Amino acid sequence: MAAVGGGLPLLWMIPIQVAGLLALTGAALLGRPALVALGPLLLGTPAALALVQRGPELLAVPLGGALLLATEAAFLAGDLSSRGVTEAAAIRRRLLRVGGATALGMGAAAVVLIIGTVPAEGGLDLTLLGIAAALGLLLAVGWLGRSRLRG
Amino acid sequence: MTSRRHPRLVAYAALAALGMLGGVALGRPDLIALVAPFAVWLALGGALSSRPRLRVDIGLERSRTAEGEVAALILGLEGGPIPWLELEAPAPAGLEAKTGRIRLCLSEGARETRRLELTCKRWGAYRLGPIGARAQDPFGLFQFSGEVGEGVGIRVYPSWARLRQLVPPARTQVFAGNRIARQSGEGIEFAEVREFLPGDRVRHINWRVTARTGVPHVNLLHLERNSDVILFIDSFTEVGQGRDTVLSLAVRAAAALAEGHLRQRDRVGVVGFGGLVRWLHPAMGPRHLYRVVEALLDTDVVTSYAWRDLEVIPPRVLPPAALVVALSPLLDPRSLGAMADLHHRGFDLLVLEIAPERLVGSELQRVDELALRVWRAQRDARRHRLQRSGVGVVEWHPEVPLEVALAAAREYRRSARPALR
Repeated sequence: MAAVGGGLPLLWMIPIQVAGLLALTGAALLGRPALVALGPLLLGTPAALALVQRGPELLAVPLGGALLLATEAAFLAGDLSSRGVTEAAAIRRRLLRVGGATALGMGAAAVVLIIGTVPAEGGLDLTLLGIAAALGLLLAVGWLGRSRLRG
Repeated sequence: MTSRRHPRLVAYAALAALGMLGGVALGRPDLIALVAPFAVWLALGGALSSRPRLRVDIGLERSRTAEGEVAALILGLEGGPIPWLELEAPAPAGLEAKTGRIRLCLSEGARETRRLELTCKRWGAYRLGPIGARAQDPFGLFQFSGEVGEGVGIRVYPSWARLRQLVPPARTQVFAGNRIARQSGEGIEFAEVREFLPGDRVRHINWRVTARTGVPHVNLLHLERNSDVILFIDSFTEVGQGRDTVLSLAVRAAAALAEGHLRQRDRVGVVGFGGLVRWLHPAMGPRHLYRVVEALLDTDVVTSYAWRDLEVIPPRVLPPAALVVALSPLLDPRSLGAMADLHHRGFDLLVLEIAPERLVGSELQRVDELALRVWRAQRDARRHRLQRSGVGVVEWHPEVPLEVALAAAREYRRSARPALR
């Protein structure tokens, strides 16, 4: 049986990841925020274990997605903590937003990995690109924050 | 609505920047891949973010309701797009939000209505709105909060128990009513038999007595008249919290008495005597009950150190020979002075003393025993001072029905008839 990184069987990881995705899909369709927490747990745990044990870099993709989902689940739980009634449509829309953004983010992560793993002599130098992206991101967020708060 | 950064914006930006810089510094593209979803979230949020438009029209299902009932606030929502909108029901003291806040999403240009329910715990006149709103932009990077909508007024009428028996006034007035007057005249109730006098109507001749005595006799009947009742509410002090306070009980009792007396075709007036003096001229009829209740809704404790007396009340509010029912906890000497003044002016005064001990509840446990005894002694002294001057004072404990106190008042007035001037 093929093993991932430090020895987690690949055969185990795939059903766990699928279960995580199903949990998130179910939470989105049913409008049940309680199921959201299950998704990141199932998606992230095996990937985190493998990455810690110097597993393949590809695992950073689901782990990043799982981190985003977990953070969003925490924000959602915070919003739902006060007493009140939540309409299913609002939950559904929010979960679909999270799911869509996560999928796009994981796609972007895969692209980053593909670019990053190209040999240096024949591919791109990531150093300048990374610094420019990080600074650009910070500047964009700062500008965005100022303009929105003024607007 | 005012806008501010959501914690998500700072957290995601910091995480993305750290991951990218760390990945570059350590030469590990997996770190950059790890934070890529957060960077994508920020990029999407920046591109699609917009300031939400929201207009809320607040309406009420019913502008008048009663204690214990549920009032529904109808919200007309217009605007959008707002993927996450929280609306919080206004809940002034006395009303309790049944549903708390509602969370919904509003599409672009949508016109929707929502319903917020409030349980009316205590009578009063309330203003509902504007309501609190909190919205997020499509990716939740910014949140907008503020108050929206124009407030609407709701009046919560007190609930009262229907009284079967009232305290009969000592004197009646000149208008027709359901009370048997002391004077004889045209009526139904038999009063006495006397010899026929010129001017007596033949139909009133008592033929049995006439045949037995040989001299014409006539039946005399009691007149049926109404009376004037003034409900005097002491609003100098308030004791208790929540639904049952001295003032709440006084208002409910006053509403019950007003309803009972108006049913008997009496004229009923109201005097709210406290930091703010309010009054309602006596009148009769079913519609007047609503005027009385509306007047009672405005009763509130207003702190004032000014010495009040009856001079501030117009004479027509206190008609001669009226029965004055004072509802008071006997805690403020100013109201005591006004009651003594009423008695000295010849009004038929009955004091319903609302016992405040039960209403303070746990606060009593924290009060020093000596202070508590002094407080009770002061109330006892005031009660005895009134009783010594001939005023009927009946203690009403809130845990027993008002009818019990009224029965005690009737018994007291039967055994110790108040002196009529």
